[in-house]
Amino acid sequence: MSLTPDQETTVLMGAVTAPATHDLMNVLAIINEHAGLLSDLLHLKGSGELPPEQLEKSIAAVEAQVARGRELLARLNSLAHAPDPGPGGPADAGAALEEVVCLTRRRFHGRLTAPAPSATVQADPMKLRLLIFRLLEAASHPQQARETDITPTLGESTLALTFQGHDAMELPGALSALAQDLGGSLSRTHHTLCLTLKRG
Amino acid sequence: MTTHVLLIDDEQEFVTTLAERLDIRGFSTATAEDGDTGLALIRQETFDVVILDLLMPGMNGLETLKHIRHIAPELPVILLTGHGSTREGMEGMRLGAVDYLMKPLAIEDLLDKLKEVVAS
Repeated sequence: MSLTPDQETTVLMGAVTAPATHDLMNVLAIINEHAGLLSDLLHLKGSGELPPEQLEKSIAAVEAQVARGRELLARLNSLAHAPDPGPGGPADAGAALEEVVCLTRRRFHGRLTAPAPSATVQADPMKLRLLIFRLLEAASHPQQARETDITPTLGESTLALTFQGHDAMELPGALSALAQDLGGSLSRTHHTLCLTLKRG
Repeated sequence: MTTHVLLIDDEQEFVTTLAERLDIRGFSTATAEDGDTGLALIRQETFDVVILDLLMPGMNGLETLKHIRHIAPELPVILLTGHGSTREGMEGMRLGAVDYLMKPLAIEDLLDKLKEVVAS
């Protein structure tokens, strides 16, 4: 039985938050191991002093993980607030793209070829994220861990999001209908899917 | 005799730091950042135990575990998971892993598990 878009947006919350929370666990795990290693060097190695190069390495690793964790949490918070404007929108399609790509990076290996520009669309913010998620899913190849490029292009009155696939792709009818529901359109070439949204 | 441990996890910073901590404690370690590399190492070297992350890009932990069971049926595997759920860990034990531990890891829990595995 196929899900309604409303049911799908509920599924989306789980599908997006699961890889992101796994990444957050890894952030904590790395900080934990570096703290543990410094403690080991102090107490088990017996010198009572930390090698400066290890200290610098651990500090850099912890700083990098804090930055990674901060980005993940900011995106999760943005996702949690996405429904706030209501089903009529508005939604920032560029921010929604960056959010979904970041939170699902572990799963889809999405990569923006350029920073996503801010672009307001009058559409349901959750359905917009659902469509971006489904397009990323269609274009990606999780088994091969290959990066999936997404190119945002800002036009005078549109924002186009091009998903570069690895294999020939089908254009699922349900996604075209969802794009139309959001006031946009979906097109396909051999290896790309392109979502064009009306700004305003 | 030194216990030879293979750690398979796509988080390079995590796996190398954990390996260093085990080295300090007298283990000898090798690391791999994906299932394919881990399986290649298992074909080349003899390990006493494998520590395997469940959620990795490409070949995931459970698929890697199935291959390990095929290549080295007796090799003990301890799973690591970052999931809040224990479902995947239980599934891994059904496939022959000796146990699973949650990330972030308490080193004492891992050492206890390693001792248990080596003793058996």
